[in-house]
Amino acid sequence: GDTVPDVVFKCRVRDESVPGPNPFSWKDVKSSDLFKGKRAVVFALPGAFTPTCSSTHLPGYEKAYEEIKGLGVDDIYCLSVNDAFVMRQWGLHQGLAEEKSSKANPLNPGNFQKVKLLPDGACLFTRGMGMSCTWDSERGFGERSWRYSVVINDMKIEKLFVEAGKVIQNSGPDPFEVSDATTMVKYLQEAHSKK
Amino acid sequence: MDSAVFFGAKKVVLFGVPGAFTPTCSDHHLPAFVSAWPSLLGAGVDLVACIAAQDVFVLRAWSERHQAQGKVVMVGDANGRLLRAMGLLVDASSSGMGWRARRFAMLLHDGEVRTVKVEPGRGLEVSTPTALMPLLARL
Repeated sequence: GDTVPDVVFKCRVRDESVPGPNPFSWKDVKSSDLFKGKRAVVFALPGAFTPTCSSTHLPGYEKAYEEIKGLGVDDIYCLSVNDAFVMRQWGLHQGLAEEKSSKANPLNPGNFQKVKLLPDGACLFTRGMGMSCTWDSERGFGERSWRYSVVINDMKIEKLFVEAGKVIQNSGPDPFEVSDATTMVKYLQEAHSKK
Repeated sequence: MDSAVFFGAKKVVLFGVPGAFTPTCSDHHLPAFVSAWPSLLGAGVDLVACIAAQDVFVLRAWSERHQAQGKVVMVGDANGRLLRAMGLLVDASSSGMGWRARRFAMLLHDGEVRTVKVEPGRGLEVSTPTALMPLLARL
């Protein structure tokens, strides 16, 4: 497949050298830091704190985290066009367990133990993937990511699931059929059994 | 909802924030207006509102976190339409954000802007309730 965009994500990581109640600092994390030499699952959604994303999409992947990792995946990322502050608060709101010490993933410490929340606030990765969708008269979200999921293998697209088959600008309906965790697990099991 | 209807014939304090859940906005700007809400009402203000270039879901969660419901009304201008029309939208891509509101505070009466105070830098000095109080007498 195609190579995914190599962009900089502006992230916030836990930094104990910062005094006060908010010990976090900025960290630039590139796509290549996360995806080069790795096999990763990324699922992208329109917005943190929005209904479908919060009630079903993220929880589905959080629950399937260990199962997905057991099928030859290094990590799982939830991407949205939101900033690092909003993504962190959403993760806490969703009851995800924080990662407070391990640096095993470039997003940590300061992100989460299982599904990592990836803030594409400036929409760079999303635009590079051709998944930019602007909602104005519908939902009033502005520019966001269309809902999709993808398996990225060493920076290349191994498998892509795009809702409705393509991006629909200012879409009224919010399809959620193919980018869910169950579909992803099924694909990964089939891929695994072919080895 | 139409902005003309929303702001209407009321005396409105509208303050703009770059980002819900970000430090200055959360630790200082919103809490200042939540605390000052009774005083602002006492000074004749009908509505205290906060605008950001973010959606209503994010703003509602932020509002709940800071117990602002019933006091500060959140205005979600995620498309930046109103902010852009007022010349108060900036590109915050270098911080990993998209188009965002400048930090400002504004007094409106009968849908007209009477005063606007835009923060010149990254601080919080001219767009606070304290800075606005003397100007309310002239509304």
